[in-house]
Amino acid sequence: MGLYKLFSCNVEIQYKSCLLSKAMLFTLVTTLLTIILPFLIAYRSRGFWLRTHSYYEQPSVRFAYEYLLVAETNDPSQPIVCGEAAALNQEFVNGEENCVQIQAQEHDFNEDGKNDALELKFILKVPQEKTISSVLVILALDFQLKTTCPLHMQSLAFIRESFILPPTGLKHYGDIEFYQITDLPCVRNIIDIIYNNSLMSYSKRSSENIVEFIMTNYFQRQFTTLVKTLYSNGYSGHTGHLKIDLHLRIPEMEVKYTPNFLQELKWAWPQYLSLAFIFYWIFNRIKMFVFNHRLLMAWKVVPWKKH
Amino acid sequence: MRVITYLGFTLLSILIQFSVMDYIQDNLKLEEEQTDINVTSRKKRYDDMFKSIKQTPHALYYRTHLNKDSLKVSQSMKSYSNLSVPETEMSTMITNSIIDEFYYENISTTEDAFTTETLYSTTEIDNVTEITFYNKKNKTTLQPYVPKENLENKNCGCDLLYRVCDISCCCDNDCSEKDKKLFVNCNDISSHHVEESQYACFEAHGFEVSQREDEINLYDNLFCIVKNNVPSKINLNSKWPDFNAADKAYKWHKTDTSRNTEFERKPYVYGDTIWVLKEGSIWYIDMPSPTVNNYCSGRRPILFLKEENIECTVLLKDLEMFQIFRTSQESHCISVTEQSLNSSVLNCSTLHCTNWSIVICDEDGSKCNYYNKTVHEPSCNESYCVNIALQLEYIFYYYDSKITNVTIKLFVKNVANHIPFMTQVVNVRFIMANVSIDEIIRISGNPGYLYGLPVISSAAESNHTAQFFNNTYRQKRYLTQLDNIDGLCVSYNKTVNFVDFGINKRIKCRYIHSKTDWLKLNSTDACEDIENQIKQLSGLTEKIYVSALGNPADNKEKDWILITSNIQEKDVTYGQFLANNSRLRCNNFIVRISYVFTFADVSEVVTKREYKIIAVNTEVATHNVTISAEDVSTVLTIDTNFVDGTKPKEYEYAGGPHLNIYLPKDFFFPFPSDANCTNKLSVPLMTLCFTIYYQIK
Repeated sequence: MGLYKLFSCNVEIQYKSCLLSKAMLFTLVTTLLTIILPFLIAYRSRGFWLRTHSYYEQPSVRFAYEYLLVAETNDPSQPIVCGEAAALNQEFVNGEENCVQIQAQEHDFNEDGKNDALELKFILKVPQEKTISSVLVILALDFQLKTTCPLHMQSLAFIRESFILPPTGLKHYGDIEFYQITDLPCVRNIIDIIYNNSLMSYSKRSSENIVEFIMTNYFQRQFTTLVKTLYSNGYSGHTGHLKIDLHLRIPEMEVKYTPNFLQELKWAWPQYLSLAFIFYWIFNRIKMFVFNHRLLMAWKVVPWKKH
Repeated sequence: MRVITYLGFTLLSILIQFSVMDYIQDNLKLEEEQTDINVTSRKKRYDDMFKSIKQTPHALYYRTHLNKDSLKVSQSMKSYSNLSVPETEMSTMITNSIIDEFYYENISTTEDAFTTETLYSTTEIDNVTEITFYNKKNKTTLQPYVPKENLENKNCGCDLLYRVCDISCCCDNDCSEKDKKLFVNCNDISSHHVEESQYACFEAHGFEVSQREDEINLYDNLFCIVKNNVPSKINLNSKWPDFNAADKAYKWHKTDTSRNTEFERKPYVYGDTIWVLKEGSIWYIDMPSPTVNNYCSGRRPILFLKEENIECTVLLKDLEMFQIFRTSQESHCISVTEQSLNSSVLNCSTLHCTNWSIVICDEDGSKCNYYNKTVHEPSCNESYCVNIALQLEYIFYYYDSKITNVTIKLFVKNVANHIPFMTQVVNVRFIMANVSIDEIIRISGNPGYLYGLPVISSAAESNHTAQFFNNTYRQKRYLTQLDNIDGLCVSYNKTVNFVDFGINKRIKCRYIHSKTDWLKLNSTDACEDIENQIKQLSGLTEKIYVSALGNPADNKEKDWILITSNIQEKDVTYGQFLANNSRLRCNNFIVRISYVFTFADVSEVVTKREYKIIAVNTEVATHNVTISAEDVSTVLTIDTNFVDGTKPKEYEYAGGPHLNIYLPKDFFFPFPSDANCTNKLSVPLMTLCFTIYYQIK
C-alpha cells in the first residue's frame, strides 16, 4: 500500500549576524528592493493610480416646463417666438398667438420612477406671408443622478433644424446624453448642486440676444446635456401650420468621476501585490543562494543542531 | 462537515425537485397541447379538475404552464368580477380568474357577483396545489360568480365605444364571437404583454413581443422558477394616491413680466431707467436690442451708468437715427434734483432738464459737427443713401448729481440702396466728469497692457509721454494699421483699425494705384513707384514708437520702443513689361506686411498679469507680382502677431530651513568660546576626560 503526501511543512534555518555587518546591509538592501521595486515597476508601467472611473446610470430627467422656441422666418425681424424664459419676459414679444399649442408628455415605461422618454409637440401657426426657414428649440430639463455621484442640475436640450422648403412638420427622434468635460467630484451623500439653477430663469443683463446669452452661459458649464439626433425628418409644404414632434429618449448614461481614496487603493493594491510576490520570490532565492554558499558571513542556526 | 453535508443534500434535493417538476410540466404541457383541440374538450378536463379541488378550500395555488394560455383571458376576465356578463359569453376558463381573485390577491369575494352555483358546472380550473398562506384560508369562501347580462366590461381598456364593438378589442363584450374571429390579434395575445398594458388588445402582437418571448424561453430551462405563488410586485399603497403630487411636480409656469419702469422721484442710482420729459409727461428712453436673433426686434431702456454696446441687424427704414431725430426735438432728458424732491410739479423748472445735442461725425469719428438739418438730413437716390448713421453713440455726462449733457454722435456714411439689411451699432457711454469725451484720454492698462485694448503709439521724435497726455495736439495716440473698407486698402492714418493688444489678426485688402503716369517710367521705376506708395500707405516709411506699458505715464524714453523693420534687407525690386507693355511684372514686390509684437509678463506677483511689450518688428514679405495695365492693383496682407516671450515658470524646491539656534553664552561654561581661553583650558580638560574614560574601560 503506497503512501500519499498529505501535508508538508518547512524547517526554518536562521542566519544571524550582528547589526553592523555586510550580511545585515545585504539583507536590508534586498528587503528594501523587494518593497520598492514592485511599486516602481507598477508605477512606471502607467495606470497605477486610477485617475478617472465611470459607471452607468439612468438619470432622472424631467421637463421643467421652461422652453424657448424660435422659428426664424424669411423676415428676420419677425421670428415666431414661443417660450417660458425670464429673459423673454423683459422683451416685448409680438405674435404669441402663433404659438398655438405645446404638449409635453413624460413616459416612464418600466415604472421605476424615472422617465424613459420625453415627448413634446409644438403646433405653430405660420402666417401666410411668412416662411419658416429654421427652428431652434431649447428645453429646460431637471437632471438628477442619484446613485454613486449624486448630482442635481438644471440642464438644457438644444434642437435645431433648418428647412430648405417651407415646412409643415418636423419629426425628431433623439437621445439625451450627459456630457462632461471634467470628472464629477463625486462625494457620497452630498448632492452636487453647482449647476442647479436654470438659465431660463435668469434675467438678461447683457446686450446679447437671449439665445446667445443662454448658449454662452451654458457653454461655460462643465457638465451639460446634449441631444443626440438619431433620426429627423421634415415635411414640406406651406399649410399655415407647423407641427414639431420631438421624441427624446433618456437612456443609461456614462458618468465619469474621480475615484476616492479607498477606490484608488483597491485598484493599486492588486497591481503592487502581484509584482511584490514575484520580487519576494526572486530575492528569497538570491538570499538563499548567498547564505547557503556562505558568500556573506552569518551564523547559521539549524534547529536540530545544538550550539 | 456536518453542516456542509447537510447543505449539499439540501441542494441536491432542490435540484431533483426542480428537474422532476420540469419534467412534469413538460408532460402536462404536452398533454394539454394534445388534448386541447377545442374549447369543449378543455372544458371537460377543467371541469374534472375543479371537482377534485372543490372539496378543499384553496388559499394559494401554483400556476402552471397549463394555464399560460388562459392567462391572457384571466386578466381580462377579472373585469367581470362584479359585473354581469351574458352566460353564453362566459369563457370556460373563467375559474382561473376566480381563483385569481380568491387566492392570488388573497381577498374574500363574498361580495362579488357570484349569484348562482350553476357556474361551477360550466367552469374549469387548472392544476391547483393548496398552500396555506397567512392562515387565512378559512376566511375565504368560494362564492359562485354569475355575470349579469348586458353590462359593459369596465376593465377592458380597449372597450371605448359605448355598446358598439371596438375593432380588435378582444375583451369587448359588445363584440360577438363571430366578430372576434375577424380580429387577428385575439388568437395570439402574449400573456406577458396582457399583464403589462391595458391596451394589450391592440398591442399584443408583432415582432418585438414574439422575439422577446423566444429570448425568455431560451433561459427558461436554466434555474427557472416554474411555479410561483408570490406576486412579482406588491403595490403597497395603490389605494392612496399622493395628494401633494401637484406641489412637487413641474407644471406650466405663470408668466411673470417683471418690468419695473415706473418713474420714481429720486436721484439716479446705478441701473435706473433714464427719464425724459415729453409734452409734460415722463417717459423712459430706450434703444433697440436683439431679442432672439441678431435683428433689432426688441427695445430696452437705457439704464443709468450701464454702458452698452449693441450690434443688431435692421432695415433702412427702422434705423435708430430716425427715432433719435424725433426724440431729440420733442423731449428733454431729466434728472431729479433736491429741489424737485420737494416740489409736486414736474417740469423743467423743478427738474434738471438737459437738451440733446446731436453731433454728426465721419465714419472714423475724425470730423464732427453739430447736426444741421439742411446739410445733414439723410436722403436717398436710386443707388445710394447719404448721411446714414449705422453707428451711433449716446454719451451721458453726469456731474454734480445730475445729467449735465447728453450727446448723441451719429457716425454717418453713404450706404448702397440695394442692400436690404444693415448692421446697426448703438453704444451707450457715461462720463462722470465735466469735460468733453474728446478730452478724456484712455490708457490701455495700468501699468501693463490689457488684452483687447489698443497699443499706444507715438509718431513724435521725442517726449513721447508728454505728447501722449497733451491735449492740444490732436495726434493719434494708438497704433493703427491698413484697413479694408469695401475691399479696398485705406491708409493707416485714416482708419480707426487699431492694433489691439494680444489679438492676432490678418487683414487683406486690394491696393489700387491711383497714379496713371507710371507707364512713362521704365519697368523697375514703375514697380518702385507702386511699392513706395504701399510703404507710405502702411506707415513703413515713418518712425513710429510704441509704448512698452499700457499706461505710459511713467514711461521713460527707453520705454518707447521703435518699430524696427527688415525692409532694408529686402531684395531689390525690379520690373519688366510683358505682353507689349500691357502687363507689368514686379519681382520682389511687397505683398505682405507683418507686425510681430513680443511681450512678456513682468510682474513679480504670480497671480497678477503685467504685460509689457519688449520688441516690435515689422517684416515684409515679397513676391513676384504681375500687374495689368488696365487695373493697377494688387492684394496686400497685413498680419499682426503677439508672441508671449514670458519664460515658463520654473519651480525650485526650497532648500532646508536655516535654523538660527543660539545657545546661551554660558552653555559651555567650562569651555569658554574665546579662542585664547580654549587653548588654555580645553587641553587639560580633554586630557582629563580621556584619562577617565580609559580608566573606566
